[in-house]
Amino acid sequence: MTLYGFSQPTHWNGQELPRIISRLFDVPDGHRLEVARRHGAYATIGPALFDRAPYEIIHEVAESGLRGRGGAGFPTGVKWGFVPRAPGKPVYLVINADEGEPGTFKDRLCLTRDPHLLIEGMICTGYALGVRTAYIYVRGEMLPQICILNQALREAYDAGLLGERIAGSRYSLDIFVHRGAGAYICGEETGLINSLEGFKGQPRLKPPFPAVSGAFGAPTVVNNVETIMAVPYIVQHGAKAYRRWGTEKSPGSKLFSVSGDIARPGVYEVPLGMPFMEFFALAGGLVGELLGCIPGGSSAPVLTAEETRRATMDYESLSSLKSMLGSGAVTPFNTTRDPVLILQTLTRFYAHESCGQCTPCREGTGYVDRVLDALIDGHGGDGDVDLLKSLADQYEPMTTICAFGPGAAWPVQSFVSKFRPYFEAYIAKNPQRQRTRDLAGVRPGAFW
Amino acid sequence: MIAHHPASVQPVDLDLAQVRARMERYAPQVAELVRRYPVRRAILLQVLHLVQQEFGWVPRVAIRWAAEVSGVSPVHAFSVVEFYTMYRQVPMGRHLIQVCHTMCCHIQGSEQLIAHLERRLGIRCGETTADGLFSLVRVECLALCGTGPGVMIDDQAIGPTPHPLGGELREEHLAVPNFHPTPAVLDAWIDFLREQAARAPHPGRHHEHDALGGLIIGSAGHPGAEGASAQPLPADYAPACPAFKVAARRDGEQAVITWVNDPLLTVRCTVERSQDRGASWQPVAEVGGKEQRACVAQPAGVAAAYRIIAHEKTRSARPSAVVEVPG
Amino acid sequence: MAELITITVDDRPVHVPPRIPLIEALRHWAKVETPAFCYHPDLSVAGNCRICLVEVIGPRGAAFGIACHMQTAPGLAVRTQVSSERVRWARRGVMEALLVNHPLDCPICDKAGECTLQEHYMTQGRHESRLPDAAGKQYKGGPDHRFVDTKGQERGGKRIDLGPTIVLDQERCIVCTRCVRFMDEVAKDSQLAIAGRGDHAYITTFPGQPLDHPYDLCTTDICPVGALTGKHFRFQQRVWNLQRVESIDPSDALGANLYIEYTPERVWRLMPRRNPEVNKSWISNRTRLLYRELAINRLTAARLQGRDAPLAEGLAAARAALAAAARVALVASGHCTLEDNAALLALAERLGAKASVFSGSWLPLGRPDGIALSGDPVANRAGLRLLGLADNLDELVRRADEFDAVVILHHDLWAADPAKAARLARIPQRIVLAPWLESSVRQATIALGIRAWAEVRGTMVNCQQRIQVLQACPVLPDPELEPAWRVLAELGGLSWTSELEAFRFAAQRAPVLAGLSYRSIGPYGRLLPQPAAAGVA
Repeated sequence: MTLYGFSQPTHWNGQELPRIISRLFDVPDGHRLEVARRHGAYATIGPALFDRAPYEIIHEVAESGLRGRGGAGFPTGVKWGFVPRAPGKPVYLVINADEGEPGTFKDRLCLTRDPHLLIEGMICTGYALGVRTAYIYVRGEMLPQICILNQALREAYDAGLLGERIAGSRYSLDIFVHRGAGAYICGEETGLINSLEGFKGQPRLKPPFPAVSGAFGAPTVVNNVETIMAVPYIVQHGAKAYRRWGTEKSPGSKLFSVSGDIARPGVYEVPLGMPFMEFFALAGGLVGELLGCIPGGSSAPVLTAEETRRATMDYESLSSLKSMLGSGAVTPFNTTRDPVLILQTLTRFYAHESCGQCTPCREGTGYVDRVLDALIDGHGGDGDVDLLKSLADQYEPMTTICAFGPGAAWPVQSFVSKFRPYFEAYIAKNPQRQRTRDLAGVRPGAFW
Repeated sequence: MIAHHPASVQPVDLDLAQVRARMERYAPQVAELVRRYPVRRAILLQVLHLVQQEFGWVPRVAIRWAAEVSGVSPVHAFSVVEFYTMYRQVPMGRHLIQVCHTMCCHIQGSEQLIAHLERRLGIRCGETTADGLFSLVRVECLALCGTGPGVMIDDQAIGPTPHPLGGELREEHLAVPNFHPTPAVLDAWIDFLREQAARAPHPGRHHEHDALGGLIIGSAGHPGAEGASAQPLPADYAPACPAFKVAARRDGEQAVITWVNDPLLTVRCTVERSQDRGASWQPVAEVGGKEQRACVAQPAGVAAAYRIIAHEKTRSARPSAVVEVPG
Repeated sequence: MAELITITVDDRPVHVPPRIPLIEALRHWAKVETPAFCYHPDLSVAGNCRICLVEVIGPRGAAFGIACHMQTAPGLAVRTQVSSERVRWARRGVMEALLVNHPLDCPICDKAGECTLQEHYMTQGRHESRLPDAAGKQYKGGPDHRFVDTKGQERGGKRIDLGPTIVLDQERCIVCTRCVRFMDEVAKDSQLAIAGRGDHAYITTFPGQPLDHPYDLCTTDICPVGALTGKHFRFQQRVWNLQRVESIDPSDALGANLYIEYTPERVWRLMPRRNPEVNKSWISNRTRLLYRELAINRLTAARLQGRDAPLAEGLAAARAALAAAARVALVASGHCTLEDNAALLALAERLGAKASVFSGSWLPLGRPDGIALSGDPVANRAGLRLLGLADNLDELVRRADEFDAVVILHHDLWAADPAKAARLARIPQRIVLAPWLESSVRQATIALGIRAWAEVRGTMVNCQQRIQVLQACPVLPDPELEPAWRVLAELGGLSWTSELEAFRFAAQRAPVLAGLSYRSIGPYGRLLPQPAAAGVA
């Protein structure tokens, strides 16, 4: 069995590892319907689903404590509960497969290995919410995954699992794949909706929230691939079974994408609440001496080595460390790495990906990037580190439409405060580092 | 440095009529796309992918065509093309090599790999080789962090062994243990593609893959869309929501019954009691849809069974499970 | 008006209407000056400039929200820059972000003096730049227009000829999307868009395509910076030298509200004046460029049989001609104010039974465009009706032979319908009062120059039956020129000294005007009862 070429053991440290989402990841040809069906795919599509009322499904998912796996960790059942029932308008389900958070690569694997689990999850979700038409918004760069999805959809249509009157019920669902075109911000749900509608992927003002008025002005639920892939298990086995894994506030399992200074980078499904160090051991162990770790995708504030050793992989532990679980992308880096250069790749990323709507983020991300570039190029001056921090502070406290601004600020704030000496070292190399002007403080009225 | 001047590379001999003629062969795809969305403009991104498949890049006159087909203004289509990074507004080489330089790939040595490629191809990032075979660009995260540095050639992440592009897309990098695109792997790919190109002349189209990944033609579409056959979902596609998770306990002279029902749809619930083991049921209480709780008098020593019937506006659900409260 | 609700602004209760944008409540009800770049009362809310942000006090503490997107609701509590250091800090950050990539070329910018960015910099954002020289600016501009300046700095798009009326400076753009929304929502012709993203976002038309729309100059008004400037006014005059008076569009029956902006030497431009009930914030390019006619082709003296003469001589000749005539026709004009036409009626009254009054127009009717033009070129048509004048110009043509003299008040009759007008030539004495050398002047036996619309104070009634005031701009092509009402009063031997007397005379004829004054009509005009209910004399 292989995940990115490596096996994930069934047990680790005497604990059974869940296989809720990754069940077919190591089954050869698991993306083909017949193989998937042999392994129990589409077991829910039948009386198990259609004899229950939609709200029972929503309630079950709410009970399971499943939280959005795309990054924000919003409780899925609560999100579904916002959707008006029988609104007289179509309700849309849009799957967010616009995976682009640096460090995250789980959705690529999910779509490649088990598209049928996603389709099954979409049928369950669609049934629960009264969805007639659903879209899968796949990142433009993942063309092979689009091919696999289309093939899987064709198989599902041919088997009567999609289209009119699924499996003899009164429920009908059509699923269409929508190819994105390269914009990280389309992973934000309203940006994704705009992109689906043929606009630039710029997030929308809220309220109204998508659950009330989203795609094409109708109620819309946007969920991550992994979130929806957990739904069939919950429908089939119940919330209680799902809660077997994880912690009280972070139940269930989660896919973690681990890369960086680790022996076996890849995607692992582990129960939430596992200590990071134990997880690193599962992934073959760290390479070199740990310097820091980005625990939840590039937006998550970086943890120092000491914090990483204390942290467990769940929403509460990381938020108590003022970081976040995010999309579950774990990126440890060792002492041979320069945190300043790592931060530079991130500021460049955020400057490149800001959608260009809100002033603080649009101009601020590029500003930070240029200041950092100048610092790395040897032109840093005294006060530049404070300047970086202060600039990031300006777009951090939700002064923008979406959470991209804060997400772009957290790495800057955390790297600067936790690895400050590395930044100072760059400045110290510049003989002209003393500036006549006081750049660090904003002094109102100083111009006059 | 100014990277490119799209204005200066626009083909002078291409006009809208010619674009329409060339895109004629995508008519089935366009018709299918139109079926899929409630509004026509939503097809814009997909149509632009088709343009890029046909031309290898997106000339401005083709943006006009895409706008025309999608029913949007040309400037809107242009702003969309400028927003998304995948639409190339200048002609690219036959093969586009994209190297990720974000965090994880940086840690895994993307800068060294880019330097190697620049040396090997004799170009800098953003440029195309003189023979028009390769374009090299830096990109942000490709979701290939596990097998970093992320490298894509044309539409797919590369695996360890070069193979002809076109036809089915392969995801070999996922299956091979400990695979990382090293300079040696890239060299092998470049050599292989050069050799291929020497043997086969340019196929005429840049992108050898279907830009929409095997779009399923002939779907029922979105209800109400142009050419669609799909029907809207009937309001009663599913059973009315019953009360479920019913529980009951005795509280002195009362029985307290709790349950869960759909608070948005349920108008009221009827609590029924049976004192003859389910042979007959009498309504004992009516409560609003949001209450989900009822207290009914039940003298000590009398056993009874309860069940709930939830009512939606136009229909009633099947009775809930039966709970018993002992005497 | 709906019931007022109470919100809390800076810890004090403020009574505001429900469900209006908070920014309006702050500005007009709480009297807290709130800056905005992207917000415009007549456009949809984009919420992208973030300068109007305030602190909203909710159950979970204070959080930032933007005043333009929030609506007033009972219990809403906000803190503005008045009481919150955090708001001041956040706005300073937004200002810094807006300015960091802005060229700051105010000294050579045509918008200086009326630039929203400059104003807010002066009031809220005055601080020293923190931008390290090595970091540099990212100037905005599309790849087609970027260039490297003489200092080797990469620059954005400058001096882009955007179409027949507008020049674009992409560098100065702050991406507020007001112009985009104007074109999409008001003009309903999407010609502008923001392309690119992040700090590379820039404003553009489709490459190579001009911005061309009958209202496109409105984008220069709403542009909060000097990115879009009108060719007609660009580098003509510094705006702080301009004075302005309120007036209305004299070329259309909607009477779009506008300002006449002038220096003592000349009128430099017309700017829309916001009136939510009439033209919102928009005027058409045609209306906007009317000022150019004020200084050219004017009839500044009298003309007797084609010979120039002083006005006094012309007046004397006209008086004599009227005295000599047995039957006089007087033609009222919908291009003139109520006061002018009242004077014409007063003259008719003086002339007694030998006078007949006609009115009307031969100009073709257009269609309303739904923005700021009604399509009717006769601005005061409703005013004439109010004065009891019928549309009977054709009757005058039929009865032309009956008259010995005709007094035509500012009508381009020979241009509007040469065939019909030719019959008027049968009337031996043709006295024409006109501000311009129009066709009637050429056909006149006696032509008297009068002031044009911009130079008179008076009232007109628009097609909504709204009476609106024109204020006089003191720039005259010739100091001798008098308003038409005064010339007509002199012809009739009336000793009127002000337009108020003419207005009072009009009120005698149209009782709905009784009790009104220019002050009580106010800047937004005043809706009169609809004609059916109106007591027309």
